[in-house]
Amino acid sequence: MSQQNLTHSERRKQNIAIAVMFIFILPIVFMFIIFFSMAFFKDGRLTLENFSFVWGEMRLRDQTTIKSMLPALKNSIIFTFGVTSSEVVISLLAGYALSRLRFTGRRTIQTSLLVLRMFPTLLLLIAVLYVLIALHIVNSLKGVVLVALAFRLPGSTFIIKNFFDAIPRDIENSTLVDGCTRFSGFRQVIIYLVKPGIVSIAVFSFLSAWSNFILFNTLLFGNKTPVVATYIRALTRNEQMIAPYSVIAAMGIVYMIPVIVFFTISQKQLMEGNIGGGKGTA
Amino acid sequence: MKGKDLQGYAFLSPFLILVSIFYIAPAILTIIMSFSSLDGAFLWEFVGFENYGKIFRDPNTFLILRNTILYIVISMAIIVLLDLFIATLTTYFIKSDGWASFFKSIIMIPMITPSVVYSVLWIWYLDASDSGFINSFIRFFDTDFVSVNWIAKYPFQVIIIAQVVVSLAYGAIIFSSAIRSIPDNQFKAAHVDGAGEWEIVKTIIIPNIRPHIKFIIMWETLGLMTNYLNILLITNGGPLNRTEVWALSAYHKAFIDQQYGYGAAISVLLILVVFMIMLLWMFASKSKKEGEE
Repeated sequence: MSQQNLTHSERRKQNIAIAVMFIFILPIVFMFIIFFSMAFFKDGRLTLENFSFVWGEMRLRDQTTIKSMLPALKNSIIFTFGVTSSEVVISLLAGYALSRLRFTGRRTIQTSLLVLRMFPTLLLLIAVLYVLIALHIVNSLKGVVLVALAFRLPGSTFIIKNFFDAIPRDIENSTLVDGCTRFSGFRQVIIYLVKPGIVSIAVFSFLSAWSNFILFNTLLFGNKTPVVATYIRALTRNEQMIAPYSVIAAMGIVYMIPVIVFFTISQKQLMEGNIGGGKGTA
Repeated sequence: MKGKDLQGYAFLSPFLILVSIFYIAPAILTIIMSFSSLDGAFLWEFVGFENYGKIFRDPNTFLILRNTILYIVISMAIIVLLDLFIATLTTYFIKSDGWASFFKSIIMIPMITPSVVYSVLWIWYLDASDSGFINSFIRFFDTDFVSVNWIAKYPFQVIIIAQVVVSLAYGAIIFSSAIRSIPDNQFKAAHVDGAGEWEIVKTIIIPNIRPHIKFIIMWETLGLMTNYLNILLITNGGPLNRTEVWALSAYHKAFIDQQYGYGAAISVLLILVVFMIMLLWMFASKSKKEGEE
């Protein structure tokens, strides 16, 4: 939309609209800023004491101790890295095959992608638990990685397939003529053309893996493998907060740093409207 | 032909293996489970339609169904209206890209906040004790104010507002990029004809983005119907089942009461509804050839 030479009335309307939007977002902004700023105060003075759970055990006023967040952070990082990298590789391969190669059953797989991508995976957790038990990988991070991958792959394959569809076939044919095999052509040329697609898959995969809660909540039990989400949740039961809000706010900040970093880098991708699976699609 | 098949499936094999074992197999298993009395002991015993009968006999079913429908309809209406409102303001009225993306990124913050943290924010905001934000805020102006346990008093309103705030960004961004792609001369022509702003919204913006509105309605309905995460984390269905919705009750029956078969039956019924909506959507977008996304 043109933004040069606004007329007087357009400028006035824009100012009104900006004011209205400000009023609209104000409660949300307030809520976040005040909540997270509590992390830096203890007994009314500015301090970083509330963050001491990151390095070691933390003793609260009522003598309960909070375990260090480090093991949970480590597990979360392993999980997120595992899911994001495998999701990108596997969906690239699958998306390429579905867009470019001709083989029996291609149509069927394409149609089922559409269904799988909107299917409510959260409702399958009961049976997923059973599958994990049968395969003897229940209650392990490995099992949750596989489930998270399987749930997200249809969506990301669908997105990357659309990116492949948009590449002119000539480019690809010329790689084949130049003596590339399908695979080396794919590796050397095609991947660079779908880079924006790869970035957007990676962003959504990261955000969803890092903030995932429900998979860990249902598929990991006995506190054997804590991740940041279950670590925080264990201290914030609905009925009663175990830690004071200031400590929880500090935990929230630690948890959200990577999210904010990724968000700032990839804001443009997110804005363009190609949001993969909305929030919470596990 | 054979070689081509081999090549295709070589590329697809990791995808197919993972999706069949951890996605399709559980989907089929859910249906089989729903006919069994599987529980914490994991013994298969088939009971026919007993689980389904139990759903209809359960005295809470009607309440849960009512909650689910109200929750979906009210949240969806608010989400779509606010999305239109935000998208029109940030795309049509605010012509400066800097301001527009500033507001859109603010609106995206709740969406990218991990739900575990997001739910604590609401619990703190509405906390019954004096540390709750709203309570201390009101007390700041009215010192005699007696703290209210907002979540216990208005649980249903709370989960709707919390869900709406999270969901706003997705639709607002889709609508906003749709409005952006409306040819500029349509607006110019309307201005020349002396149309007011409200008329422009009504006769140009809304008709142009109708397919996107339909898509968001479908998408949000599916999301609200099946994603129980925020309810689980904020009220956990309580107090006294007042915020229990269908999908959450499947979770509770399976993972809290360990009645896996019963939980699966509840899930299967919901999956059937989801499938009907998806079929309707596919037919609607196929016949009109305007299906977006």
